[in-house]
Amino acid sequence: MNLTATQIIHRAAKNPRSQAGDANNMGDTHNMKSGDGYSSDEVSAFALDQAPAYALPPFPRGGRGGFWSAPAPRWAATMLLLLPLVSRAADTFNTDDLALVRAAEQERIDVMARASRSVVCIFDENRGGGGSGVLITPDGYGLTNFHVVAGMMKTRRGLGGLPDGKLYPLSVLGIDPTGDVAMFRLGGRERFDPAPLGDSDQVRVGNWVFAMGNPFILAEDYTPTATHGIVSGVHRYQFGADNRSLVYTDCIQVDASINPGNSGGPLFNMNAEVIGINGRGSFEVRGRVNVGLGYAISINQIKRFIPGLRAGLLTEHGSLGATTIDLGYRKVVFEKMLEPSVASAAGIEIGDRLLRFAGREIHSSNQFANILGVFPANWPVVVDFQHNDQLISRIVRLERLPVNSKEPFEADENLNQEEVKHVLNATTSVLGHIPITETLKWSGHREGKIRLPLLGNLGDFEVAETSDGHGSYVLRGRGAVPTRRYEYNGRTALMASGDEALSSADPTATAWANLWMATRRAVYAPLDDERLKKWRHLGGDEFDGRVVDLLQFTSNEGPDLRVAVDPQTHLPVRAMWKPTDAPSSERPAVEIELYDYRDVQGTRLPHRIRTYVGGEHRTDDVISRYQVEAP
Amino acid sequence: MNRISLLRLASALLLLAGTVPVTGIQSRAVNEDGPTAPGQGSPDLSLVIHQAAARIVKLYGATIGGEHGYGTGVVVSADGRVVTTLSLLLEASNLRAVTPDGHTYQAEVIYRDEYRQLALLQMKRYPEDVDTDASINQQMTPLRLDPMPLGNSTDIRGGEWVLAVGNPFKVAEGEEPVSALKGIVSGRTNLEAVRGTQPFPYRGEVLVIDAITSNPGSPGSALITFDGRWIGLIGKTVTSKLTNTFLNYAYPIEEVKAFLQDAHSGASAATQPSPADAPQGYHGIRLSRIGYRRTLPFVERVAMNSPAAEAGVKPDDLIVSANGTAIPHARAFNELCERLRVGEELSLIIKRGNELVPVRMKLTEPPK
Repeated sequence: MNLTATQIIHRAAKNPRSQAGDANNMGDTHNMKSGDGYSSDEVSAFALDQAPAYALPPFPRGGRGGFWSAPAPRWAATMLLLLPLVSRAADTFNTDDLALVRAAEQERIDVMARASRSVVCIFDENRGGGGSGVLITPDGYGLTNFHVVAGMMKTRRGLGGLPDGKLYPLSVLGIDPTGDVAMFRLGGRERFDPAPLGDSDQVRVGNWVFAMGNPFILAEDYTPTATHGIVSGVHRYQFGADNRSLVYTDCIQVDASINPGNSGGPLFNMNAEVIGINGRGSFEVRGRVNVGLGYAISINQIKRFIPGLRAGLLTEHGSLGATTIDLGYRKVVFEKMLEPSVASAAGIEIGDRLLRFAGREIHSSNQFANILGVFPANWPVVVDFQHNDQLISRIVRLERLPVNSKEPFEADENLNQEEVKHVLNATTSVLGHIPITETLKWSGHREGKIRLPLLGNLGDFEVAETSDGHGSYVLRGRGAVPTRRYEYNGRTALMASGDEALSSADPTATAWANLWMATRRAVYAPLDDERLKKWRHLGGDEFDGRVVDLLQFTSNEGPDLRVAVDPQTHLPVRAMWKPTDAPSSERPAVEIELYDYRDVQGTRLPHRIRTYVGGEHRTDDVISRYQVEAP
Repeated sequence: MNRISLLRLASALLLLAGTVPVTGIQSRAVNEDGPTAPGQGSPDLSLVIHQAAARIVKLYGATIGGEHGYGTGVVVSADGRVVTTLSLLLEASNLRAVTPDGHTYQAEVIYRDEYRQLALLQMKRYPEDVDTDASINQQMTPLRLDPMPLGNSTDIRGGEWVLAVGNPFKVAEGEEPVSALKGIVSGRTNLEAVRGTQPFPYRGEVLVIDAITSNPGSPGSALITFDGRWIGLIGKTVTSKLTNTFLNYAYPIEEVKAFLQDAHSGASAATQPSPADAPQGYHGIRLSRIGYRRTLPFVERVAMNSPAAEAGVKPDDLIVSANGTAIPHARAFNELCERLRVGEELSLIIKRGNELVPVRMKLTEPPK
């Protein structure tokens, strides 16, 4: 700016063309003089040297006294007083506006002060390297770029500096090398100041944002540098080294300065919510300095990976197992396909037209790649495609896009078990006020005789067996079938019975009842060490538009059970049998989704259960009444 | 002159001026668009940027030398005229413009301004890519674009918030909206710049800005105010003669208007070839004939009172280009001039010593 300013003044002095224009600047000059206490000598030097270029008559140099000394003509003083008012009349410059500016500035200062408490300067164990990060939980979990911690992967140890001027021990947890994200945890303090996560889908071009971090390792005291700007673009794509490392897809482009050292630091909206992790800039022409184009990984992409990152996993991105090609305007067609792949399993054939992916209309292959990149492997995504003249919509679970890394990553099993505890201990605590020794019994409320204890000793499905070897309960409500009665035969299956038009062979009914029972049995049991070993955290999953934790329970009694748990409520929301030991025709994958949890005599139970068999939506059952009886 | 105090004053002045327009915009944003977005009282720019981006095309052309093969242009007419900076990019045999709806059109240069280093393009009537979903009628509907309304920059003094809307680093492609970078106008000045080692021909007034626009792809971006007024066009990447640093600047919109007026007369002259029976235009330059078949186009002599003499052409000048065409040898120059008729314009870039000098002349009847 100074250079520019010099030039302007040079030109102004030399160039009579700018006379008219600069007369107003002159007004500003005097405005400055009265407001900001520049000495009259400075002003007079300016005025005198420039005088020939302006419409104002020259002031006499007047020796030491500056231009206020006599014999300045009286009209000159009058003009000086008037000029600021005249020149700015058009800009609605008044005290109200000034107050607004000051209020806005104070608000910005407050927001940045609040945000800065969560910003971390990241170093390796030897205080080398240098990047940024942001804390997102009070117990010290934080986000950064993978490329910031890549050098620490041998020991997975580093240091994190906070604005209190202290360095804290840092351990690297899970990593996402494809998306350039890593999670770390700071220790050494009871409670940290986390930054709330925003919703990056709401980010619009033109939004005001600020980046925080430690560019050029400027801050010896670890107070972050703030750079302010606007969102220049959304849904941007930045190539990685290949399609499996450091790819920025669907990212946010900002004109706030992003420099080396900003990597891994947060991009905040003006509510101090994290909307992205800054990691790149357009450095290819001018070298590694800001050129007004920085890129942040959108926080909504990262949210899908956070469960896996917390659990210390090497998270992988998803793939359809098929590539597309552009054929004409906005026409995207499947070109190549792996066999088998999730694409082929979904019934997609080469030549089919891709219409929508994850709810977004696809206009080009690049756009498809851009959107695909934000999803982890195994993520459920809706694909809409056109097969001949048929429009087909399928939910597919993406397959793995294996990480391209030279060094193998050993997942830390302890971290994984910690995370299972984090998810499940909380779940069991929902039932905490029910004494474990108490046998909870469910009865069909019509009969009221036959009891179905579900929780028994809470560890063993066999306890469900009552003395007469039967249990049953009644579901009333709306759905595919209005009323159903299920009986438990004492072993592993619940079957429909009674006078309704339901055959006991109804696979859906059997399946969901089984699954619900098994889920409750698995999830609500106390988590002792032996049980804990049967669980493994798999990463994130999506349920009803939210990111949830996906766990796997391995037991000897049946196929692996996968349970998705809502991290907000700590309740199971989805369960899947993963068919492993039988051909899929005989044993289709069964999935139930549990909605509408309500309190039933001290325990939270779902009141709507949706069933999928083989990926196909079969039933929606609405449960009108549970009856829970103490023994 | 007390330089330090000047600097302090000038920068303080800019800072103060910088705050003033914000309030104006801010109250406007509140009044017209309802409450502002979560921006702590800052103006909501989304709409303004969206509207500007809808009037910008992405250009793709030749990749020659340091030229990156992509650029930005602003739509100035509904039938697909686009103003951009003059560059080697435009010399591609397959110059293409991609509209905000993602259609690709071939384009050609219809007017070049060597002095201003600006060019006017005309896009073809129908896109290259066929929309198979559209009806035949839709497919046969000729190009119709939203031109960017020409604003004015006469009240722009420095301190005003601005946005540069264009496609640096070809970050956006297809129908993706182009980028918007914010900044303030640092001031107005006359350009004294070089490109590489060559002086930059344009020496008129420019708006200096603090948004970084000296990026590949940025030239040809629109500079707009926060309320959407088009006040300038980002120029080619140049370095300041004084500081040898990259300069972020824009032509004031008045310069673009003047260019468009020139282009209007020039381009229509070019599209309507002069009748062959009009006499050949006279410039008064004789080139050196010494040497081989490919004699370098050195000026040997300039006839007194000729158009060339009045334009300031001097003996020993080397002609680098004529009417936007590179002149590798004397024959090329003579051939080009044979086609020019009385009243037509000849604009030259001349190498004199270590400087490139642009000159312009109107051809006359040859002297008796």
